[in-house]
Amino acid sequence: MKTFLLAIIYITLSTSLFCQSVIIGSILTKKGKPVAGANIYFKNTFQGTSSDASGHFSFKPILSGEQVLIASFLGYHSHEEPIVLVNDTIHFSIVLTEDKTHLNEVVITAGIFEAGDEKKSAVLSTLDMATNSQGFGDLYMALNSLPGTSTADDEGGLLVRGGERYETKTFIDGLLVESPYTTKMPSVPVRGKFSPMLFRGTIFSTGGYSAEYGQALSSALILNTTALAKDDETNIALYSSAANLTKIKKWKKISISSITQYMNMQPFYNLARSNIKWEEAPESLTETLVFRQKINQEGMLKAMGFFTSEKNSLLYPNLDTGFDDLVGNQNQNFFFLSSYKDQVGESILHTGISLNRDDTKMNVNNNGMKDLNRSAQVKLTVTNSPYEKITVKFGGDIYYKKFGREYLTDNKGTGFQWDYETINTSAFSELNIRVGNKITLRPGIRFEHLGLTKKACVSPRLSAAYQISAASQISFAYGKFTQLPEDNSLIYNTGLSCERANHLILNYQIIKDNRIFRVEAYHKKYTQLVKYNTLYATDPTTYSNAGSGYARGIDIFFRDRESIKNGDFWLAYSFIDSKRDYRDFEFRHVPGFITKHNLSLQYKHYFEKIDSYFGTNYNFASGRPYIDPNFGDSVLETKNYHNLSVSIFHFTEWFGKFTMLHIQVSNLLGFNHIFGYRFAGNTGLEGNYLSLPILPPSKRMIVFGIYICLQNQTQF
Amino acid sequence: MKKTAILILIILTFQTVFSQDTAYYSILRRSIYISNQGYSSENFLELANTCERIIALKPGEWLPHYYCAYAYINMSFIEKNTSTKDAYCKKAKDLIVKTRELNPYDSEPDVLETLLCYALMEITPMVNGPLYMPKANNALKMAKEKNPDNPRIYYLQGKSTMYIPGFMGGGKEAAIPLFQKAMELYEKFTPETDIHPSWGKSDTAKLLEKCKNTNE
Repeated sequence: MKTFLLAIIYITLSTSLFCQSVIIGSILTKKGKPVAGANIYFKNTFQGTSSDASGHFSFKPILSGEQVLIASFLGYHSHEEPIVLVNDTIHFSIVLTEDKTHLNEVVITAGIFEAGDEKKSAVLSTLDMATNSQGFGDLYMALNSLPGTSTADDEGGLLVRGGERYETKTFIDGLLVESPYTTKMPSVPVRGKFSPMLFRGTIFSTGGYSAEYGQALSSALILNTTALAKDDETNIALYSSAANLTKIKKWKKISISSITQYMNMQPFYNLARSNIKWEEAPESLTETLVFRQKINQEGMLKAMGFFTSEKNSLLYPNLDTGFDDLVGNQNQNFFFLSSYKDQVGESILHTGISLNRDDTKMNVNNNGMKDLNRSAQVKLTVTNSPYEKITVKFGGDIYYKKFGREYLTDNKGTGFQWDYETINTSAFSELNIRVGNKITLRPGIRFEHLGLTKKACVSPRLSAAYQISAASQISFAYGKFTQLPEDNSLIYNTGLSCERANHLILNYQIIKDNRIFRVEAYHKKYTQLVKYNTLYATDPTTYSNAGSGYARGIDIFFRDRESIKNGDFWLAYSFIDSKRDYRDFEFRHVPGFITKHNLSLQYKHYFEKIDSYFGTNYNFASGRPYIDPNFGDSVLETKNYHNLSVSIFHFTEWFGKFTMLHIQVSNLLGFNHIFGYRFAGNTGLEGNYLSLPILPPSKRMIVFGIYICLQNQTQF
Repeated sequence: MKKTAILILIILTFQTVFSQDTAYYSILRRSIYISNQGYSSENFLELANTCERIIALKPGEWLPHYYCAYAYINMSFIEKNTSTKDAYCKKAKDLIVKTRELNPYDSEPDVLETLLCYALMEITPMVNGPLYMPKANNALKMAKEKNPDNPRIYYLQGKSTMYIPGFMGGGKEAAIPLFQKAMELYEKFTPETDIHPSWGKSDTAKLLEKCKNTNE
């Protein structure tokens, strides 16, 4: 029938025309596979056809002479073929090459977790971060559900692979954030200061990070802020202990956003029993102003001003005196950051500048100390691809910091003051080389000069990935990392050298459909860690770089969004073996914040019909090590840690406005958590050291909130 | 092969009849006609390819952009592979932006945006559901402001209401008045030309029947 029909058509055609060419051909990929559905047509005409399932096509154009035939297909470069049409049958085949932006480049995954909506290599989406059942809106807490982090609810922040909190540095748009957390109070976990909504992409490195970044022994958290806002918007978010107001105004090429947050924990502690005797529950006011301007085709100017003021005080039992000490804290932090990114010729230029001022006043009864931390940074990076398969990134920064501390008695200055001022400069260069289609190599080198010690150091970095199959790959990362000691030591002895760490990481990853499995082994060696006799000792000779340590372990991550429709299961497990001799340790042992086994199981289900997420999260951690001076030097362990938390997010419309309701409860089953013990400095009347367990601020944490988007949602 | 032949025939017949300005009408009309013959990705791809050919020559016309987006959205619904679906939706998104630029006062680009939101939600309901539901509702609202008599608004509204459970204000019963309203408007509706959007009528009738039957 078909041929019959065709025959008739051909006859009709041939009789009605004098000049008739027939084009017969096929469309293939570089690998020789047929392309079905490619668009084949003559330039500047409507005449064309589509290739069939076997990649073949044939048609008779009513054209003559010199013409250009175009073949195009989604995800491939268009191909143009000049053809001379004469009364003839023309046979040929066209090979289409894949559009490079669609190519699956081998991405190095060793030591890297990505979150965001733009990149395919991202393990988490922005929404995952926002609806994490253990996150409570804190970026750092949400990242704690990834392997390689320690479960330490009394510490807060990110403790990565046996590293302390200060070993993880936060970078926003490439610039270092001097104080990303709220001020640490005894037994109270710190929280991140920045709203997760400010960022569109997150790279969380658990080690072996890029040469572009330095001054972090363990980990770098690289945050990229959002681009130009899409539309005017007003949002209100009300939580059980905080209120947020977001206002966004957009012009053609400029947008300005303001985020105001007020937080007060008092209402929550009025309802829930707290293990802490709060004098003033934490209270804070934060204002963030964000400015964006699009300049030319590619240029983007970003600026962000951030101000926060927080205070709280509590009664802390003093085991030696038997009375409670009044411990108070006030902090004001101002942070300004601006960056400009543009394409200059073939290169991408990225510049940035930041200013930071952080005032902290800590007092114990009538004594205390006042810290003033001022810093500024200027940074420039250039990215260029001189060859198709090679990308070069290089740049440097100048970092200025002035840190001052004053002791107070009766809340007045005592004249005991310390300060230091330093200018650190750095330069780095990194190559990204693609070898064939299966290998990516990334060698890098970082040079740093430190103003305090007037010493320079060179840190080599190398990472690589090899694609085993379309779905699986192995990656590797190695690097040397240095970091100036914490201000608490450096202020008393400015002659201290950098602390050092070497990382070695091996990673295997397989991604199929919506399942991802990755396993990573690492070894980290610490040298030149700071040692001292007592914290806050003013004698510089009691400080030295004699400490050392190691951390090694295995991290496993599995996520499955395939097996159950609308279900999202995830497992993160970390095993760590780590010992250190640093700070005031008397011998080399496991630090108190390390738990050997960490397990996080999460299941999230989206109920399409009621537009809600239901999430549940179970965390397990083995006991925390501690040393009981009543039993000599043996390292004991607390009970295992179990935590079951649930969360519900419901999306709806109130008065025609998009509304999100959510409730999150941690430790639903009410396990008693003990993070360790603290002991009196001296023996009591019965000849032993008195002790108290370190407990969480409250047994359960409950947050409920309403988020209302007052203005219309954006168009595309 | 058959389609190709038909296409050639059409080209031959109309090329000489119409001036260059309106020459694309007949080609587009034919492709729209083919795409209405069967809900298959081949038919929609044919429509998309035809539209792209027209766009290359007539970048200022909104209808080819509109239909190209429409074809890709439907291809996304039919396609099984997630990343291909994503690519189709991305393509459709750019085309809708362009369509709206060319025809900002018409309700049809907004209606199409709603359909795209549904396509995106269908790919990963978990992730895209909460993201695109408000966008879809907003696009429908905008469409209503521009032309409250566009039957496709109520057709799409009815379609999404159908799948929301009763206690949330949805369900088949709640969808009936919307489909009825859509049917009413479809009866009255006359597209500006025969290549202006007119889809949705037969599906509305089918869904209305389905809703009524389960209620009895």
